[in-house]
Amino acid sequence: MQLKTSNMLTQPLPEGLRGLVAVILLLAGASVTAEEWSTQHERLRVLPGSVPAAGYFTLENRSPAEIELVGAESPAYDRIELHRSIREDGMSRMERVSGIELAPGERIEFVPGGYHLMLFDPRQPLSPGDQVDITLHLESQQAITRSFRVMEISEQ
Amino acid sequence: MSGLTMRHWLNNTLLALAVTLAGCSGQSWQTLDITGVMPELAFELTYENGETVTADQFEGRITLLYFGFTHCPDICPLTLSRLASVMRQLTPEERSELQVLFVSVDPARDSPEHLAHYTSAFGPEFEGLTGNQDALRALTRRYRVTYSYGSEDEHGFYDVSHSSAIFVFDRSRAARLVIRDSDPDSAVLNDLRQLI
Repeated sequence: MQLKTSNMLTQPLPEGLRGLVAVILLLAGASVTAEEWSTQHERLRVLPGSVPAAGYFTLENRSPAEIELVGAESPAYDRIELHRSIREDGMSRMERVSGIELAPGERIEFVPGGYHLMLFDPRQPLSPGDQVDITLHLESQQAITRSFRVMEISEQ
Repeated sequence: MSGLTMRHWLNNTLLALAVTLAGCSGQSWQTLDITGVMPELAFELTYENGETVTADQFEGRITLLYFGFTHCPDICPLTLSRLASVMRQLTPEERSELQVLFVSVDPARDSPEHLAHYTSAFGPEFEGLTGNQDALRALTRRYRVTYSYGSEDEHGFYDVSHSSAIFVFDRSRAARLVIRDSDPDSAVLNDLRQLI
């Protein structure tokens, strides 16, 4: 079953309905995860001011076909891009990435110093411990939404 | 002996002497020892409170100098949080002997007030500085590092590439160490304790 959750989740929902949707998503997500692709360790590092935040997670392709992560969105941010940090010859810089392909069975880690989501223009103040819904989009139009935990700033 | 051979001999002798002396002092450095190689800390920059400050005002503590910018979501916070985590392994007394100077090479986006807010998130030992291009170029050139601005994307965002090195100065502002990406936390802890 392929579930497109992006439209439902970018609209704010009333409290009771939100809880129900969460349960449905959990069940739906579980079945999508088992067949297609899964994520783990979803976390954000949010900084003071309105500077861009960074998102990290592990993505695994459990389907028999190649998948490509092409974007992400969240009700909490105006825009999210895929980026990669590069450290070479004693210099640090960043590059925007348009897509990340994963072969069947392949896993990729979005970690500090490497690939990361870059989240621009927060729509609300966020603090360590908050949970933020982020929808990850594949090239094949599939999408899943995960809850990312806002880390303590000094968390590794 | 030809001129070239003489120079090589001299270099080798000096190197051997430096290594011997380093051994004699009884200290072993696990990060990069730059004692005597780089000049003492000197700058004229704008502090978090908007005032102009010079390096001598920071004398008396061990100084860790790092160049970055606050719109850097990954590497800069990673570096600063790693430092914060290393410093938490020191005693409060040891920690009070250190200060981390985060020099923003992106004055267009990093106001002193914003820097104050940003650095406070990592700990009281973290302080922000910035300046105009002349002051920033002078400081980075002094320590043989560089920075450059990327082109703006369609949203007006630009990246800033910068050195990943952390320079360490002792209480009298002498340049002593460089902490590189490859240096593990244990090496940083070892060396900071020796300096304190």
